[in-house]
Amino acid sequence: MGLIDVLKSFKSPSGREIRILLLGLDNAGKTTILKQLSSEDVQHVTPTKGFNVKTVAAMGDIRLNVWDIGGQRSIRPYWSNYYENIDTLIFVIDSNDKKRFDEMNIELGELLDEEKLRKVPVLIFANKQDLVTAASSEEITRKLNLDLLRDRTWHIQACSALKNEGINDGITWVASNLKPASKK
Amino acid sequence: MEEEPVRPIDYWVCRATDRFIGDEERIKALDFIIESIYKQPASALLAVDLFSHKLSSPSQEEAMLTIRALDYLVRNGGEKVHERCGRYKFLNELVRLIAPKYNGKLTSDALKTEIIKLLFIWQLSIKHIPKYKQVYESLKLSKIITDDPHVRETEVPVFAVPPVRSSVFDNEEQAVLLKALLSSNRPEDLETANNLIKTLVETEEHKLVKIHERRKKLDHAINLCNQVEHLRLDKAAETIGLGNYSPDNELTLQRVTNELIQLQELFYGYVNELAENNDPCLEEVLNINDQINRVLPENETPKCGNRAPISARTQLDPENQELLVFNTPTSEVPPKNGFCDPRDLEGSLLNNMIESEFVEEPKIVPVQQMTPVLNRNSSASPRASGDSSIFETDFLAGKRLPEPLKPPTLNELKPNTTTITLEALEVLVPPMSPEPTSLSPKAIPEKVALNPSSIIMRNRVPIEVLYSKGMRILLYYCQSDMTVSNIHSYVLVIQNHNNFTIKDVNLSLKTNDKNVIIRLQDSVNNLAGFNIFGQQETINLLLCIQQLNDVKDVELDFTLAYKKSLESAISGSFTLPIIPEHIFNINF
Repeated sequence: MGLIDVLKSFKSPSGREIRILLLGLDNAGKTTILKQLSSEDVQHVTPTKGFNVKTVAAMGDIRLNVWDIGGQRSIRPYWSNYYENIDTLIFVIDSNDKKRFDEMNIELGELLDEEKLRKVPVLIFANKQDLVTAASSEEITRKLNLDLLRDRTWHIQACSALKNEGINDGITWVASNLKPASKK
Repeated sequence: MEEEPVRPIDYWVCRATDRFIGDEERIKALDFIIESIYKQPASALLAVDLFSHKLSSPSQEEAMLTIRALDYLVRNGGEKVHERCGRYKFLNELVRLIAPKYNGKLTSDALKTEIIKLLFIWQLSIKHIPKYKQVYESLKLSKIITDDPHVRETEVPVFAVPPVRSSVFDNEEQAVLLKALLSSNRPEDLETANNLIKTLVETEEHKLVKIHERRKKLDHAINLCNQVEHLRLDKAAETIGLGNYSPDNELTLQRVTNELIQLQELFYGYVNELAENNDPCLEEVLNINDQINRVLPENETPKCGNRAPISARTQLDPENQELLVFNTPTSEVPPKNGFCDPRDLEGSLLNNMIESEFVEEPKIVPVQQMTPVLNRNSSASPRASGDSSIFETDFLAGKRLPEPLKPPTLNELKPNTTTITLEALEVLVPPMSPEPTSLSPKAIPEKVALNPSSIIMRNRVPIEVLYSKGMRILLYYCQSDMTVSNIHSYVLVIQNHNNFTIKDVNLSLKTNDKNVIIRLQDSVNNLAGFNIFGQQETINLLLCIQQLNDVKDVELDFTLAYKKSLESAISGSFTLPIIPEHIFNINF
């Protein structure tokens, strides 16, 4: 119900397909988020070796094309193959994996340096908030130096993909902060 | 002082460019930043970005201090700083300050000079990041920089090139294919792209496994070298009367030495791979190989000792002499690629002979099957003149039939064959006149083919002719039905180590050496690549070389042509030492 309402709010002119790129380190929860968006069972999620792509909705002229790319170190060189014509970048963070915050920082920094992703809005999902030891979104904002992002629109959304909490709020932000079509 | 560790990077960046404090304080701040970078590599990104903002300060003095700070940071901050400064995002900030189109007119000449000097130095000293050179040369092309600045050689730092991250992802062909598949909206193409990514990722992971295994072998070799040295010290101590060196230690010493010899052969393969990839580990492997060589030469005496029992046993048991003729390698030995020490080769052969001797005992029955070979070998003996004449009659009868056809054959060959072949045929005339040579075939046939049942493999390490682009060619020594004293036989084995099939595989061979005639089996095959379920296929070709004069080496040129998605070919050359056949029968 909530998801359908969110999708209806998409203001997509002339049947434009909205491409969303889901990136992040391995085990951050990207595939679980994708499955929640497409209302699939999230009980059997395995590490993504290649990529998953799903068109989440097809109502009239609204099509949300979500690409979920494997986050293992050996697959990250492939990320660059998906940068073309991206409308929104979603970077998923395991809020409980504090030992790898530096690695997340480096990977996110390199993504934001990409010419093809210039001015693309970024949504950071601070995932796994259901764990008591998870870092808060404020803490993650500090760790990732998000306040220094001045060349694009960004937002951090606390969520728990496993419990399907916060994901709709994130997609709502995506819908209201799409990359302007005129500058494409 | 206690508060210093708590300061964020921003604070130290401000201190490093603060024009109201002394140089010493600014250097301290920079050193703190560099220390933070080595503790947390992510600090490099933040520091460079903050300095980048400082560059566009309205204060020319602050901008100049920022330039000096960046110079210091690049010299001392390490590879993370080089990578971050080597991005367009940062370099464009420098360009903005000197390009008239942007803020070039607002920037003082002194500051511009410093910036140009920095860009010049960086493009010289950080060659492995190509953007530095690209930016500098584009500035020269657009006349923003008219002359190279005058810089003393001592001002240009030298940075170690980081290890090349060779990756299957760098394969341009695959990248183009993947990009095309991902651009398509068809589900089948996306599925193909997914499978391609998974295959390449598994290939990459397989590479990592190989690297780890190599690491273990190298560490193991170092341990064995240390063990040998300890055993020798114990032995020397026992000679003086100290310690207790026991026969068990002698056996251990021999076992460890043999293991080192085997590891060394494995390392030669590593050297070949690493040299091809220009890998920095090459130096380490070579150093460990030197360490092994320092340990092994002292083992010469035991080897000499090992020879006496062999020769004694050979004399005592004549049957074993015959058995040695039919040696077959019991295990595949990796190619040595010319790195082999002659002493190591000798030891290797001796070890193989020892092993073969034990293996041959149950092979008494196969010896009986080899009776025809014995007959052929004994044909030169005067005692068997009766058998010899029968053998000669059959042999000559076979040879006489094609003789009447030779004149038209020569005429037919002229328009089809190369000049080299014609000259080679002319050289055949003199040997035909002496009658004593009639025991040997006058010429090898135009076409040769591999008959596996008539092949006897020689106990000798193969020559690696080619190992490139996943294609490998090995040359094995053998005896075939063509072999006589002046005709040598070999098997050329083609292997496809890629994970895709190649088609129309054709190997051609030629030589400019007029002392030999070569015949290579002609065939065009498809060759499947590696797959996890099946056995590796090979293409086996017979090569015969007729020796016209005494030569020790022959230079051979080869071309391996094949098709994959694109037409491909690999050419090269190698030197093949000609070894007299009787050496293989040295104990006969």
